[in-house]
Amino acid sequence: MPMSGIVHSGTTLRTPPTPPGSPRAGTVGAQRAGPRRRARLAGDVAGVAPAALLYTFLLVAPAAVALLLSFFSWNGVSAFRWAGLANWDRLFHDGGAAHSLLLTIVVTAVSWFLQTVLSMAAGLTTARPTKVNSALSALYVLPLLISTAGIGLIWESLLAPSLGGMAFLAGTFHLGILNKDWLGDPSIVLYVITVIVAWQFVPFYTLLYRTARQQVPRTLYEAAAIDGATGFQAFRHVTLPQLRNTIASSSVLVVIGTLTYFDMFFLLTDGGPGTSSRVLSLDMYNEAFSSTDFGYASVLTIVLVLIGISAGAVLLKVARFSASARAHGGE
Amino acid sequence: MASAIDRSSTAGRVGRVVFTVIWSLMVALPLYYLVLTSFRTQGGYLTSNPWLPTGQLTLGQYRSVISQGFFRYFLNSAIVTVAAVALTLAVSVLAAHRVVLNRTRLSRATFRYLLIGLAVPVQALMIPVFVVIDNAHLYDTLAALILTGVAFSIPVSVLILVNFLRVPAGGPGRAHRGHADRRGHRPPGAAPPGAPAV
Repeated sequence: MPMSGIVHSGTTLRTPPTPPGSPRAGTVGAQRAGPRRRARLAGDVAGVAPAALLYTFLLVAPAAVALLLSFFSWNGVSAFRWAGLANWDRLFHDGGAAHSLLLTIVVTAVSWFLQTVLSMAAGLTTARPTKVNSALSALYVLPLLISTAGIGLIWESLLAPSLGGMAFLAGTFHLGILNKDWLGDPSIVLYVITVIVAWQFVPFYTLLYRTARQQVPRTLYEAAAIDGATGFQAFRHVTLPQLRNTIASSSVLVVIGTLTYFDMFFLLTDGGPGTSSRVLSLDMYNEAFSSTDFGYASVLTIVLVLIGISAGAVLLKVARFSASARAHGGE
Repeated sequence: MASAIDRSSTAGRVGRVVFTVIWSLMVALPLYYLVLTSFRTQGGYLTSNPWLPTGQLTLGQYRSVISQGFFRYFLNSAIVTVAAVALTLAVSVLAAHRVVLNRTRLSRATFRYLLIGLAVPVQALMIPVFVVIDNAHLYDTLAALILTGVAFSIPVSVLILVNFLRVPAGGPGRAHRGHADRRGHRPPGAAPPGAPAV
């Protein structure tokens, strides 16, 4: 797999070599220059501490509390009761959780494909700064301004059977295919919500792709054009490699975001009809707040967190994120 | 000038136009529907064409929203948003800058530590977050919303900033090679490489 640069141009265009005196190359020298090294370390501590502390107290600490809770039986009111591995044991005999996990995986896979393709297309087609593209970008970004609750309301009223906007269109234009019980049909409800979730989040990733495309040095496209590259070849050999980091980060965000996404499912169907859209995060919520079984809900929380972390790690590996990070520090 | 570089095939151009039309409609129609519906009474919603501004339109919904304390809620949202964005940016830019500039073990370990946070489901932590906030005597304050908002945005913000600071054409590498000296003085007109990410 060509990691960088375009192949036709004779000279391979690639990431500029590491400048002298930059991090990895400087490690050896830094050991001699003690005071400078200490100053750099102090700067590092001061730089990362505020972010790390806030994050530790309000995100990591609660996660640790969740892990602890998974070994207790707690209904939210009474005292904690030690439950040992009972909650964890239940996980392995819980057909409902397995079903929810499957739905979550389907939603995540479809969301990744849908959101990546749509946002890349929307971002790349509006990257060149023309008046039309500015107007289009302004339009594309609009859903980002609406809260999840607002988006849920729009689509619920659009998709309402017989009275909604979609049903009206179906009636007016005799398009039977639009006349569905979109959120009430167990065979399609999961995909309908996935599309609505894409509608909500594609604008954000569109912004990322658009900005990243604008950062690609123009000279790369000029070189490709001189070598006779077609539009598609320029996309394949210039745009895609240059967007690698953006694809990696947007994929991680889509996958992890979708694995743990809950709001839209809760608002639109609350898992129904039946359990046909009861994704794992919703299962977890219901265990906590409907069944008030916080211990078992914490088990599901930990499972979700572990799946999320593994998925993120695999994706970053695939995207060679760590490889490019190493290369940047000196090959 | 652009056309010299743009060698899109006819198929490519057609695909571009088709995508633009479909996606524009897909984005615009629900928004149009929302705006139109907001001018209707409950009864009007049931009887008139939901896609055309016909029948009885009213500003009544807007009046009732405003009379129900809209400005107070809006002010709360504004305070939380401005404070959370400012604080998130401040701590994330500081951290991302150190991560990219100094590849020390500490900054690299911190970066990895922060990335794990991307995988943590916010909703899942509702109860434990409440326990922590309550113990810090911040329950029922805007500060609680701001601080949790910041904490949960730090991983994404740092990831985006680090990726942008690392793009081949920019980043501290270029800054050190003449575009900017160590204190960050740039030649006039040169944008700081992290600006678009911020």
